[in-house]
Amino acid sequence: MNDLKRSLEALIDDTRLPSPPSMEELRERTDRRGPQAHRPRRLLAGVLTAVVVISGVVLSIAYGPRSSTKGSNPPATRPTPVPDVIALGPKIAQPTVLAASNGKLWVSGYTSDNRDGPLLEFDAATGRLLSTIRLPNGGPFQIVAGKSSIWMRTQQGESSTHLVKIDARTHRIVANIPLSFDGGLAVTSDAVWTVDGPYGLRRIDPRTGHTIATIPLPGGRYGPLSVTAGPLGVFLGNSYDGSIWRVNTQTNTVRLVTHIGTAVGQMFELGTSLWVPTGTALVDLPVSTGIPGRTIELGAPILSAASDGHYLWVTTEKPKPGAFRIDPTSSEITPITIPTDVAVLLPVASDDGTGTTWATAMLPTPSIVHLAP
Amino acid sequence: MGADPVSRHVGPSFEDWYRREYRSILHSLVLITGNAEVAIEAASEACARALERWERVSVMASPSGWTYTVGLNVARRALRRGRIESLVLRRPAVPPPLREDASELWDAVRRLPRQQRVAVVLHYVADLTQKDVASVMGVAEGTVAATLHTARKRLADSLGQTVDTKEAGRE
Repeated sequence: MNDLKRSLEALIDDTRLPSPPSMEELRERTDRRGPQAHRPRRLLAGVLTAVVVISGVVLSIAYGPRSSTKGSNPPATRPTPVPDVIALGPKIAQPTVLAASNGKLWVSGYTSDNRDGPLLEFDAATGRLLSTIRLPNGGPFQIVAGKSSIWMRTQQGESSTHLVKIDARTHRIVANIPLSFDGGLAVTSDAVWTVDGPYGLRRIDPRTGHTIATIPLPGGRYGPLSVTAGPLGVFLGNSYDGSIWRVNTQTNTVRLVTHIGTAVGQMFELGTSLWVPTGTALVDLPVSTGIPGRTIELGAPILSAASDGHYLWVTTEKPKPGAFRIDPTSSEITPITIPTDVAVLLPVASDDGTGTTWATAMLPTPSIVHLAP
Repeated sequence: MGADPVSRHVGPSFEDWYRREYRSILHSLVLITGNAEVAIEAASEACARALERWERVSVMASPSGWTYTVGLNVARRALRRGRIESLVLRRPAVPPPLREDASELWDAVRRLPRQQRVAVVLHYVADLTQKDVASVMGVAEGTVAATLHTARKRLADSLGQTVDTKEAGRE
């Protein structure tokens, strides 16, 4: 091991690295810094995190109170009147996660100076900020909000990631469970399901925070990362090879359902189907057959998708930010009018308790926008 | 921008330090992050910040230590976003540009727990003293020594070599 230093120094092939930045280039960097410097990253963060979260999907399907999963009947009651736009203020300049539950909106992300922001709780009916919760770790990338608990996955660094549980009433951090790799998160009444990269799917007791089972997943580092859970079951999506897997919750094993394409996004359940974003389209995958059915083409890359228990809600990024409500029975697509200065629509989340759907947005000031036809 | 921070500086030249240290900073960040793209950006950004504050940084006990701290923080944030990005866009990380015969050692380094990998790279590649590594990592010097010992043993086990617990880098 005496030559460890020499060996390590020789690991990198210098000829394949770019030349060092010139002094001029370094100076240009320092000149560029300032209020404008964060803008591209802010936009990027928005675009990138949008599809990841889909908080409301899991929330509305798996965890929050719900009255129906029929998917064909519109809400019986009119949505509660809510503000069109809720400004996030300086605490969250780059929202990365959004959840809607029981008339509350939960949002977190990064501050304007790129630091880890807190978790903010808003009253959806008034837009009033109810609480600011300091998180034990930064980097939230998944959130599921229920009546009594908020669950988040956070990523602090290359190999530092946590599952955090917050008491929704006291706002105390009641669990902060270290994991090894990032991955999806879903919550059912009796389990928290989260992917720990190549280590597999962790099934965690929501009361104790203890791992009940670690379910091996195929594919190793390139295995399924996203997970969704609801009345139809627990499903995993592999964005690398387009495969969809179903968890047998009795045996803690997985089996292949189908291969649906190479661009599988975060899935969600509605009615008797699993809905799978695949690039610019939503694919209807009836769970009873496991055979892909209808494809609803949006014509633009899907950023985020969710269900309020009755309709499908989708945000897109090109040619300009768009939001759409889709009737799962007729496949009718209804465009949603959004403020003209919205640059990027971020995660969309539905609260079927109030019949409202929301998306975080990069307006001149970061905001939560109410989506309504 | 105001006066050029370098021209006002009377101590060691930033340019000399930069020419001497950049390669080491970049290599270290490549090995720690395992992502060439992130490392290149983090190294450039860290050096730009050092230039911006050179009057203060140059008189620190370890200007390089300060720059590594900045670089690691920049890289950490980029990786965090990169993880999200890879989830969304299925964009693979840009792998380190390794020499052809280096895959076995790289595999061993990559398998080290993060703390051990950071300590090993900062000590052996960045050539920081254990004291400076401790400062960068925010841990006690004794922790660095123990971490390096464990990491060396682990590397030796991985590579099927005899364990040499002697310190091979700078004290």
